[in-house]
Amino acid sequence: MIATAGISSPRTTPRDARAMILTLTQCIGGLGIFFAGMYLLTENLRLLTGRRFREAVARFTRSRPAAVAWGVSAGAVMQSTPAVTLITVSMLGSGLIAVETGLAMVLGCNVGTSLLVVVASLDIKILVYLLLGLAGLSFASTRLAAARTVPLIVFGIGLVFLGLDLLKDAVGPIAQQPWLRDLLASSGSSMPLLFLVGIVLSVLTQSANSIMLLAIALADAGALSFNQAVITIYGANVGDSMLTWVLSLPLRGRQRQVAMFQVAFNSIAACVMLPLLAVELVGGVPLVLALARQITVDPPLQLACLSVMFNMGGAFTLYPCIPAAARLLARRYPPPTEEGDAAPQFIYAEAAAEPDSGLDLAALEQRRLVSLLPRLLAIARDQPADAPARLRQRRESIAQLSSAIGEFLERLGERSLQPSAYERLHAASSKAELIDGIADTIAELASAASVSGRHDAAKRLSSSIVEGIDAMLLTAVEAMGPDGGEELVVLQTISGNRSTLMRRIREDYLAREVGLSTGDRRDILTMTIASERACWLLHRFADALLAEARIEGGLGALPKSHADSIRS
Amino acid sequence: MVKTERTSTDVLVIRIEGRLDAASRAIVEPAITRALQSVPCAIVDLSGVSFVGSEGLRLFLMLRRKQGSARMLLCNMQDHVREVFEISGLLPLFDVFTAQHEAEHAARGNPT
Repeated sequence: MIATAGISSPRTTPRDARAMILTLTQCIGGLGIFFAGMYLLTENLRLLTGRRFREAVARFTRSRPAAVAWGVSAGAVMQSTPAVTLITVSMLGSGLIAVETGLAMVLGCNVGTSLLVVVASLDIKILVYLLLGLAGLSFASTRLAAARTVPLIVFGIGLVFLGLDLLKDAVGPIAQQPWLRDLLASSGSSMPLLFLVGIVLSVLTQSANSIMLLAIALADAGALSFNQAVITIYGANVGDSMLTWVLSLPLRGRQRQVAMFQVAFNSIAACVMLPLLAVELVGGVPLVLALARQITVDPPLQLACLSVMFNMGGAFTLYPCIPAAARLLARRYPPPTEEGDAAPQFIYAEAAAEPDSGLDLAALEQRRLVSLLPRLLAIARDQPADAPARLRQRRESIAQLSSAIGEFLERLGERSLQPSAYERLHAASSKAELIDGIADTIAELASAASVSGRHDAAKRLSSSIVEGIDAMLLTAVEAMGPDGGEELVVLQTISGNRSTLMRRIREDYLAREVGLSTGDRRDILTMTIASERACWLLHRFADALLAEARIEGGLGALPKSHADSIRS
Repeated sequence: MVKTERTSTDVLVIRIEGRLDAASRAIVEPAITRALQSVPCAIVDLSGVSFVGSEGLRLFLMLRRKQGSARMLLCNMQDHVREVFEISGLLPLFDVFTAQHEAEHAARGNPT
């Protein structure tokens, strides 16, 4: 502990004031280092959680105990329930795991993250400095420049513990401050109030762990009694759920199911652990506090163990209820249609073993993906009150499906392929890139076109563009079908360079219509530019489809003259 | 919604009114398909069409594919309907006339 403030005397000298400022800034610095460490840790771990990682996790977590075990490990390493939840949701979205498995992972993650408090309660300064030193020194080596992710993760872990250590050391002198002691004394031994303080501080700092460590440090400094620290720790855990609940309000479907399970986790843990604590304190029955005392004689470590026990209480209670919870959550928060759209319907991991049929399935999935794009324009057409949120969800589901197709093609590329299959794979990858570009453009167009309450002229143009581009997209979907030869010729004819037309339309509207607001003018500009780009991309897409037809020799459905020109 | 008028033995004028979208497609499509099967030339008068949606545009593409040897001429497009045809790129695929008499003239084998 840093002895910077023996400032309990009524007269404050300049030296005392300086020491106090130093202590407070140490607190702020410690918090900053903690959050910077968490950021480094989470962001770099995310880079390691690619397709192979997620597939390996899916294989490992086929049983519920294995899913819990993975959750504990992931929570302990990542130290971030939202980060683990994000990976879980993405695995759910790509169909790699079932909801029950995801819930088991989240359950384990809660126990895993609580282990940080135990580790941070130990004196691990030497280990922390060593981690920071080794990871930091590796940055000096240019040879290791290509593999910086792991050192950055280690550096992040080091920063997390350094930040917590600084915070812990600063709390001692602050705890000696008369104003703080008065404040804590004024709350008396009100356990409900401290429970509430734990909740509020956890929500405000968005870090339950830092509040738990603060409570442990205050108890260690004598500012809080042991029991007061316990109730604050319980409150901080419940606060974590409150924060998850607030953050999950805009979520829907499986994301909401997982988030609400997380909310239920700490709430149920509190329902189990609070009565146990009350029975022990009031009735003198030896329960969790007694168990913590059995584990260690060190009070700070006892408090850290109680935090883990709180989470284990929730985990043991909820573990047998996971299937029922999954059913209940599915009923309460049913997946929106977009979520079903995000899951692949044709491709699956094992299909990559047979490249030719795998490529056929990828083509079917790509057609399905393109058929989802008009739904973005349908939102612009209908202009519901929550258009931005719907567009965002729809865009996310399209991006998820696109990413699943991309990963499948990547997996096919790892196989040993015949030259013709390589050509097909290349064509499919080109198509995938173009579809992504078209999806981005259509989303931009739909976003500008979905603004309601516009000038009549802007509304009219918006409608014309939405319907016109929608017709082209529908043609593209037909062109990708089994008998799409003629539609492909039509698509190639109707798409293409629209710069002159769109410039004329844009200039006409802007010059002719009086009363257009700045927003209307901006949207007219965005819509015309986006539709110009959409036409150009669709023309390139038609070219890519023709190139693919040439590789596959599937020119039978094309008109003879066109098929001949392609063959030549 | 759809009214037909035979102006000569070879030409049938089909007047469409209201919105041309997914809902009205079910009514309009069979009417024009029948017309294209019964005469060598059908003139589709769009003066009464207040809105054309993507499904309406797709209908014309489908009719174009099914028309066989029959001719389908479009006329009297309102400005905003023409704009949708232009933006979708469909306009050059069809014989479009500003007035019905021009379309009839063309139907009689005298291109304007």
